[in-house]
Amino acid sequence: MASLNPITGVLGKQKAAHLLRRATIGPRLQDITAFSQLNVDAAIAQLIQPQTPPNFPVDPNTGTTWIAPNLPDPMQMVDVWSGYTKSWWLETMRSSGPNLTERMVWFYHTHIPIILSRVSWSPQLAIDYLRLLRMHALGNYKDLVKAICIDNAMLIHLDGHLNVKGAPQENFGREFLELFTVGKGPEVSLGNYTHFTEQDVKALTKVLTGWTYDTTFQTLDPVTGIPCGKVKSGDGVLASQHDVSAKQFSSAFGGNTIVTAGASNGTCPISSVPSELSSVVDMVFNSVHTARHICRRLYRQFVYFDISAEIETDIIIPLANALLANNFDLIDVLSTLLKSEHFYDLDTLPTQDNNMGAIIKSPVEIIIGTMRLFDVQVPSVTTQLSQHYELFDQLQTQLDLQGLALFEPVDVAGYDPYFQVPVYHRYWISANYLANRYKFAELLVNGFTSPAGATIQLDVLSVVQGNASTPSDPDLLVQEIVEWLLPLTIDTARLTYFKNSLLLNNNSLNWSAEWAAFLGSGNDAVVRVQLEKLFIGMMQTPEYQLF
Amino acid sequence: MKRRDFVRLSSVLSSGMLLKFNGVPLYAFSEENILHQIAKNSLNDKILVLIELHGGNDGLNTIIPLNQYGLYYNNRANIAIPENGLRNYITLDPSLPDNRQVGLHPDMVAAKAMYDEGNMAVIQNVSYENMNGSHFRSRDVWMMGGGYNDYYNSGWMGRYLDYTYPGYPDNYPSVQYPDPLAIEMGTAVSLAFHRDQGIPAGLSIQDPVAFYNLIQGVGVDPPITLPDTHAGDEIEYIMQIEKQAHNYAERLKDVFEAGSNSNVVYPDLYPYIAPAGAKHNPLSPQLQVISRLISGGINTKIFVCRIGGFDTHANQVVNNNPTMGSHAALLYHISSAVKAFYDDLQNLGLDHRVLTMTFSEFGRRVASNASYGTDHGNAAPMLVFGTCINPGVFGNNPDLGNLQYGNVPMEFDYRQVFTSVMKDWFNASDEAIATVKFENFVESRIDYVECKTLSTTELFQENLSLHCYPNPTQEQLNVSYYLKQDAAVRIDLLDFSGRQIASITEPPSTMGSHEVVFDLSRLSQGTYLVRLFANDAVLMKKIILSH
Repeated sequence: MASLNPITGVLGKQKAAHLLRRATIGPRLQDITAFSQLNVDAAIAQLIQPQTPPNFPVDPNTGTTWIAPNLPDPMQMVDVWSGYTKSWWLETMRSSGPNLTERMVWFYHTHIPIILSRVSWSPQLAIDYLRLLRMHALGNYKDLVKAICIDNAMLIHLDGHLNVKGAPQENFGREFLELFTVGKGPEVSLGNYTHFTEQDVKALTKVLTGWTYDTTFQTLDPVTGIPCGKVKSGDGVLASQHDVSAKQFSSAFGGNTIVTAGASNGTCPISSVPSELSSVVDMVFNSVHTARHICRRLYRQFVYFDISAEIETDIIIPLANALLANNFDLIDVLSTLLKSEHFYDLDTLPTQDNNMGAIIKSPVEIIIGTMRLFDVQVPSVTTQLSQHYELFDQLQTQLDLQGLALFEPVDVAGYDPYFQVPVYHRYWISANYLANRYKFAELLVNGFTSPAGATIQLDVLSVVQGNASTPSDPDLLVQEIVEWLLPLTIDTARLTYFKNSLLLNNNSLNWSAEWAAFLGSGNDAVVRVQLEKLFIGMMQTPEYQLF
Repeated sequence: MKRRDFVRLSSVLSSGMLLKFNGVPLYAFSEENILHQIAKNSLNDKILVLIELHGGNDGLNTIIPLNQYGLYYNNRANIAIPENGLRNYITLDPSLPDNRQVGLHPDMVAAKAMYDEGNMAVIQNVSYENMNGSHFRSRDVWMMGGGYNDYYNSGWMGRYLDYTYPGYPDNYPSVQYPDPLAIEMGTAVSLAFHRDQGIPAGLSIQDPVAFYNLIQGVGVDPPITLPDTHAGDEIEYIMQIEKQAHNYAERLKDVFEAGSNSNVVYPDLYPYIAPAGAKHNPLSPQLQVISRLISGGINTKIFVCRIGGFDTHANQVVNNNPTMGSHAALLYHISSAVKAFYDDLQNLGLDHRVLTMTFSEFGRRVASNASYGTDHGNAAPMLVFGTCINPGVFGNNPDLGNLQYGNVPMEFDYRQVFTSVMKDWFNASDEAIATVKFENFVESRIDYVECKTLSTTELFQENLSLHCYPNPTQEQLNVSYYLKQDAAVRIDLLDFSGRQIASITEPPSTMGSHEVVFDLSRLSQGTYLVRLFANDAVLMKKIILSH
């Protein structure tokens, strides 16, 4: 059976690499070496160390941020700032240490997404949304959900600010139930999706009435200190647009009724509105389906897309029960999963367990993951900021070509590969996307160049000189590069192919002699060409698409 | 049935299926029993172009129910298309009965022109039983071809193609079938093309030449043996996509380069007021590529295009003008791009092979919300375009005084509509239709597929012609026909629903030209069909009676 029992002993390279591939945006070679010495408890403890948040992005034209109180004008810069915001996020991923935070930010973005272009007219909104995800990345899931309900960007993205008494706007309420919390169960009758009903959408929508965004960014979340939305009010005392009628939920939520505290004459004190929101989130989180739904999402992000009956029973249900018991400390539950025999394919038989290397990388993992693996450097954000943005803009284009419009999911549910049945992560692979993933390997080795001449380039010769134990030995060299690049064990025929066809140029070279010649003369022409051929070739394989 | 058999047989013999083998002796294929195979699978040269309106189209501002204009207006005064003024709705067809009187959005001038040429039909109130308001689940249902409680891992198009082209992907492309079975414009492949197992039957492309160049430039040898693990499954999947890309890239480039568009100008900009992001026509370039591929001789059966932006919860119209804005622009884009597409196809002599239809995951709430938008609804109209259709309005206007949860209830299951494509357009066999899981919708399918004239090739093969004049007529209709040989002849007059109104008793049946006369003076004005049987062959002509 699939087992949540923790593994014991020192991780070793293979397990360390597996853990880091899944729990970060991709390991650096030195991270794998360091983690291979740790046992799983120490490894997880390091992964969940709180991180200092990154500095705000800076506009190279002004040398300042565009964060309040620096709120800038004119507004025609918004598209540029949107691009900078995405670059800032990608650079935060690239430069982060061996830590879970950025993986969780990505996970939460795929789970509770925002479409950037819907909020880009006020360019701080997207940054605050990312700050919020990052603030809660290693924290409590319920706290995150409470905060996201009144996040400025979310109030706009799912039209929450338009939801007023007498004119309900169901967009957010519906997605809240279907996507973020209980999820849809079997539709047992018209409007009854087992885990919630149309009645609940309507009742929840009423609870959520009366909020609006605050793009002066004066309203701060008392817990996080991040700007958030506010209750609509004419006089600063009473809520003007909150529906104070009793909200009757269906039996899916125990037939619960939520009432507004202090309601009178069709209105209520401002303070009643957030406490009512808090009550309804508590109610929804009391449903076992919220815990199960988020545990399935976690499983798909960290282990494998297919949740069999065995996995549901042995993994999802116990994790969900633990999550309910610890009041939604998601990281505690995730740590259990990342320490488990199941995660490392060490369950006792019989089991279908073989999860290592079984997930198809997203374009983020292809692009940022590859750059992280080899510690590819980028122009400095302090001394070469314009060129930094120019090159990250080129990386964004590559993401697009591989099927990831970063921060612009087509659906409010996010990006297809994270939720779309039947094939989930396989949606990353179309003929076009795949070809562009392969093409990226060549582009990175050849180098991305800004108009002013700055580059982002994978120098494979330096990588080999800095990391290979015995670069003159072609067998050992190929074996080591395979271990760096590929998440699964490769058979001899495949190793031979990489060595003979790629490194040795169809068996026409004496590698040891060429390497010695390079060391003697400093002329790297031959070895560089062959190493580039090997690296590009290995990155242009189906195996490299996995992690 | 007789006529369908005739069309099927003759089109198999005359279609591109065989014409493509110019210069290649037929016996080369005798081993593969190609004729048997084609007959079994009933392949014709018909093409389906599906346009997905992503997000849930507001059907009531697309097709306005004129007999209930008061209720329509009262439900959505802030977005209602006006009755009067410079930009009021366009009355589609004054001759329709009261409960089918509809108006088009004022920006659908091009669609109106197509209707007037007999090239557009509207199918009202399409949905599925127990429609649920989820974008994602609804889209899944439409794509997979099931009901609300079905969870198939394949799409209806995928099952059709899987049945029709046995042995995919291993046996393809072949000399007989050099083309992708289906092409999705853009870069991703949706659920609709997924088969029960293995890679999707569809291929995604944007620009065939760039696609070819990209594919040619990347990749190395794939692995020979695969591990028996989840990772091995993913490697195999990626390898098959890789193979599919290589297989089809060159063919697509050749076809694209061999083809050409006519001098029709495809529309780009919406000429009125809308947000900047909504101004450009995203459909035009997709349809233009399809037209060129068809003119180059491609025999792909199904193309899918996508146009997004229909999730109009807020601001679907601009302030102070409910006839303009983002939704208006979308309708303009569809209507003008499809018109250009058919003008182009007509110039190329290909229009009779192409059926185009729109679909969307659901319609929208009858009542608008306070934010100048509409929330998720239920049934909505589908638009069908082509020169081989019965023009008209199928189904009655929704009863806005009798809604279901504030939504337009379903009149037609979407599978009734797609079954007509299967049976009447593709001439799919009963077995094929059963494989697609549409067998329960054959009887209730909708009769919008009808070729007005048979192609010259088909006529030549049957040595038969039919001519009706004057058309339109006021009372007398002359029916002239030519028989190459003696035949059992019958001539019927049918009303538009296919009901027999009159017959000519014992019409001339000897070889040569003949003419008979129908007196239509006592019939009410409208559209009628003349049907000529000559042995097993059948011809139909549509005529219009206006007193």
